Amino acid sequence: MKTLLKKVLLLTVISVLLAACGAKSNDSSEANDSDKKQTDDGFTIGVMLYNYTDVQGKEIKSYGDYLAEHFNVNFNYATVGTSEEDHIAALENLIASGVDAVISGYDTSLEQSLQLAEQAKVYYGVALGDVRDDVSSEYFVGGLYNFGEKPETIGAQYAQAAYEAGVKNIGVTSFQEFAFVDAPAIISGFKEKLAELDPANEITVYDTEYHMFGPEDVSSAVTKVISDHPEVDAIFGLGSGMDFVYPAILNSTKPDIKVLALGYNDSTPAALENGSVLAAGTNNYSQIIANVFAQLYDRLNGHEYTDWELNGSVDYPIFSSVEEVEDFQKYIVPGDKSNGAVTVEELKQVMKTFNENATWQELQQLTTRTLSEIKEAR
Amino acid sequence: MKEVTHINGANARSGGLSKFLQFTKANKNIFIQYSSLILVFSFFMIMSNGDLLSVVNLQTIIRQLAVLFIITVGLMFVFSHGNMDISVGGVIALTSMIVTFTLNAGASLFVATLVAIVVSVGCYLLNIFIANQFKLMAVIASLAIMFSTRGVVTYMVSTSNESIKVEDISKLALFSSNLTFTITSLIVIAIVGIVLFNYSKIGKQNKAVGDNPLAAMQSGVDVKKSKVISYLIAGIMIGFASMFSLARSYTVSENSGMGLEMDVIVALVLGGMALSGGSKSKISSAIVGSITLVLLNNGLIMIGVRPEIVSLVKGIIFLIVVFFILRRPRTEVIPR
Amino acid sequence: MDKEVFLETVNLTKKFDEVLAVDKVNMQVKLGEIKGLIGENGSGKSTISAMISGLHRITSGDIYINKKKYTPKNPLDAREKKISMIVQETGTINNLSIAENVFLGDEVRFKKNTFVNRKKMMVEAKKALEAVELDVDVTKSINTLNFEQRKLVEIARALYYNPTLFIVDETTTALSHEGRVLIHRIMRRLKSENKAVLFISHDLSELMEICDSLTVLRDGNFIRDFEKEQFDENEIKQEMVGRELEGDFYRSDYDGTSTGQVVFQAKNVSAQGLKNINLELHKGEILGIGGLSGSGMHELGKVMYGNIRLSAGEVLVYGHETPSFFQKLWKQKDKQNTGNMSPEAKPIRLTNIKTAIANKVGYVSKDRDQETLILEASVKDNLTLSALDKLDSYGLITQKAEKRFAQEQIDSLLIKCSSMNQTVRELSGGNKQKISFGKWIGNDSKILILDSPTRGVDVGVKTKMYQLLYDLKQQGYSILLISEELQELIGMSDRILLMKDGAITKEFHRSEKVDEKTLIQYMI
Repeated sequence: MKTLLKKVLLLTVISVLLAACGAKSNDSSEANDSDKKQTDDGFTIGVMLYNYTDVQGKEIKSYGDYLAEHFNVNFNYATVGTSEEDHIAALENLIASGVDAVISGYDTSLEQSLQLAEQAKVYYGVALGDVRDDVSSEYFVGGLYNFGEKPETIGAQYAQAAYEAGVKNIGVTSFQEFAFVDAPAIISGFKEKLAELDPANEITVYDTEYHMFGPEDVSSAVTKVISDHPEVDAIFGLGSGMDFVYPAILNSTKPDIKVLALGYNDSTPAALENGSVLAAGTNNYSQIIANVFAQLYDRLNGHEYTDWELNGSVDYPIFSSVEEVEDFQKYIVPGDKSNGAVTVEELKQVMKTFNENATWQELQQLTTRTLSEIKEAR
Repeated sequence: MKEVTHINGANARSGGLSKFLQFTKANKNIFIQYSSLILVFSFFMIMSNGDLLSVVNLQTIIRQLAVLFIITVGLMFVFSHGNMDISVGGVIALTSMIVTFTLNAGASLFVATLVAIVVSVGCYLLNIFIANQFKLMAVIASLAIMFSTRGVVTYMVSTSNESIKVEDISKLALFSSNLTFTITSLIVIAIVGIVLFNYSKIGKQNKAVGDNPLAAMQSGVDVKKSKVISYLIAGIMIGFASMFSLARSYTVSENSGMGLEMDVIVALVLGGMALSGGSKSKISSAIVGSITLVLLNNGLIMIGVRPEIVSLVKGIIFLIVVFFILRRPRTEVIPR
Repeated sequence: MDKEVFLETVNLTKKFDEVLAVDKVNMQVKLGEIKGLIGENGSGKSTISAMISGLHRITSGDIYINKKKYTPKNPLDAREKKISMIVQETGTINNLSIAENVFLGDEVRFKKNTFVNRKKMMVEAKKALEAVELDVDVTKSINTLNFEQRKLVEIARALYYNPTLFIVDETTTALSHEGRVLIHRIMRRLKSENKAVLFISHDLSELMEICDSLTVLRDGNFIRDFEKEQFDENEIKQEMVGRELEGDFYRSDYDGTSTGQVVFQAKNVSAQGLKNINLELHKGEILGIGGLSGSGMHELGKVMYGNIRLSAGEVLVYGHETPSFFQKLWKQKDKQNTGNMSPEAKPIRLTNIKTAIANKVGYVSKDRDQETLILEASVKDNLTLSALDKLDSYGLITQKAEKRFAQEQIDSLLIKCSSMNQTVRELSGGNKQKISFGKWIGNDSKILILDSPTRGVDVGVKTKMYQLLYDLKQQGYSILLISEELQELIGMSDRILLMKDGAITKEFHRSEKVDEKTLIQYMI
């Protein structure tokens, strides 16, 4: 009895597999059908992120929910693993679930992902980074410069904050270049600006300490900076400045070292207030999603910018005072996104679907507004 | 005597239901074995209004199944020893990287596949060699292999200017887009796995060693050799699986294969395997478990479960399965 | 008959699923009396003691203690009622200290604030062990003790709680002569202190010697009570087995001659604890090896099996060179043509288990459950494990071949199991032992090294075992019978070698004149 049952089950599995194989040819028509079906009750856009529990994930999701309220779309948020295999699998699963477009956080396996997107006639955009210009696909809406088109200016802003705070010996820590492509540009912008502000050369910036992705890697990088340069009085932390570098310094032998942080979390306002953090910054996730979404939505409705380019840009807000943090919380990451960085009304103005004269450049202008510009617009 | 007839009478009266219950009872181990698959399958089948079995999705599932299925079947031989392996992700990454170099150097697919198997077998033999030589638990040896393979790949990725990828992707077409080949491979591997595990000396000795190495040794099992063979089988299968893995993305990064080691363990538990190994290990755990896990990941996205509760849903399903396994009927020992 | 009844069972019944293990048993245990409980394997005697001590729940019926109803839910309930039990299986936990094992589960006793008062525990443990005359460092790990000493630790644990009812379940089988004497003394002491003792054993002569009354069980049913003055060995045996026992317990012939053809040999062997051993086993011979448990006889068994490395000398087995893989293939093709064996048997040096098995040497360890059987595996898997090479045809082992093989052994040895897929752990001691025989007999092992083969089996099974050994001998099997039971050696062996301090001290040939007293001289 036992073996019989087993055999039956095994046979079922095999025959199901074979059936799938035999029916392969119907593939494309099937995909078209599902396309049409979706149009009637709105589009579905898949989102692929490592998690939805950190600031980044929460912000992206809440902005997505805001968009879903005002446009004829649904979002299917998928949590993906970090490996290529996991990325592809999640994309396949989204496609199989019938999404019309996908916002991927990352450019993992971009070529293979685009191949899948093309096969399934699904539009694809990369949100959290720019992409190399050797890829192209009619279903691809491109990537985003998350640190603006010129990352050097971000470095310059941090340099300004450092100079104003009067620190003299600055260490730099960062993720390695292969993982954080913009790091060298930001650092060189930082150094150049300091040289310009400080012609007497009173401020020293040490060589960058590169590290891997774990908190313990960051912590040992910080320790190394302190032991190599005991006189260090500030660290420019590019590798998760708030989440990793700041706690690492608090736990080090010199907890009074000031932090210039790329990053933001709940402890930032307090740290800025007591002066242990000189400046912090974070991506403007509303702008990021607004930018990718606008392009995907237009494409789904058959519109395309004539002045389209591969990589768009968004602003990277930096704040060095308590007031600026308050503004940031109020205008960039508010709970109610209709007061946020990009409102639906503003967005529709630059979308082809709603405004025939809209251009890609206007979209970029909208999504690169700085904190003060957004504040003015409210 | 009177008592007995009375009981029989009661049985006869309840009729059909009791027959059904008897059937369930007699086959309850099988039901438990497949319970997770049945549970996951029916849950998502209902929730997705049958889309789970759409042609597109079935193809998707098979593609995703390939890597996990093959390595889980391979590692079954290691796990049935009561050993644990957590190096598989790293080994796949290293193997994929070396295969990429081989292909880019102009080698044929056949040569590349051989290279994959050689590299992976090498890693696994090193694994068991370390464990045997230093009398370590196999899981600790595999930890060392995990760190070193992952380390080599991360170093290569971080020092090369270009991303490491296969230049001529058409070479890998057999593994990437030929679904017939994939299905055939899976069936062949399942059959090879079942035969080796259930109908050969290798599998039988494996299980004996997992239960009681001393008794196995006294029954003429060469315990060391049996372990080496199981790592050899795992190595071959994993080498083959890395070809499928590479053909999915054509690129190798420091994240390649990340998390696979955990997936294997989760799959085996979902398949009803007690991780202590021994004679209760069944090859069907690997087969059923990997299918269940892929279905689970697929289904969760298919029906668009909110990301906040994905972990919760997984947790509940896991809990139910583990509950079943823990409650596996342990017939009370009848003392003399 | 004015002794006070301490414990009484009324219609006590226990079912495991559908199996009725104990069926409406009524019996009494009185204070100031040693009560014996006897029956064949599976007669339900251990189940009764397990119910009394709270290890198993009662299915129906009642137990009364001092006329009050008593329904134990766990062993702690039993302890509260001053009932202690020592079980057949090892009840100590490895890697804990001896003292911790003495007070297993009752560390609370020494709790001071939040911590366990180690010092006090050590002192108390020492005291507890004095009662069993075990003088060891209690802070050491239990692993440093041998099997017998561990058993004594368990006894000490049971006695520490000053029990009114002391249950001894098959424990003496694990003990040497000295250990038995000691536990008998303990039981008698308890009796003189007006405590009750329930003694469960398969060893009838031991029970008859110690007990004041006996209860015989068969197939879960109460059969009969015997008072001391009614004790009659044959009658009790008959009641246990339910039929007339045929013939003698041991083999009846006194023909100690054998073919003279040497099949197995140790030449000047020295190894771990063994000094210059020489022995020859002939075809169709039962060679008994006797001695105290520390005499090296158990090691000798392992040495002969290639399990312990030699420091000098050699073990030779007369057989044929192992055919290589290709020769095997050739043989398989050639099978139907001729069944001819190469005529000359050559001496082959036996250096490891593999050569031993290849040359048809089988070994059943004294520690059967740990070393010979895989308790978690099925009857079939256990039987086939050492015969995989035999069952293998072209790299495949079919279910059919396995089943046929297992069924043959089950049938020929009359192994009682619900199916060949039953887990071995669930079987009784006698049936486990049959399986460990079966795996070698099935694999055509013509030389059997049997270390304490009747340990832990009862009289009915023992008889069958002896019959089996004799049959095997008749069929030309050569048996190295290592045993601590002198009666068994005298009863079964063609020759007996006695060992002391790792050396062979004396050889006896089979004769009516050999008796225990003569043997003991050469052992101590």
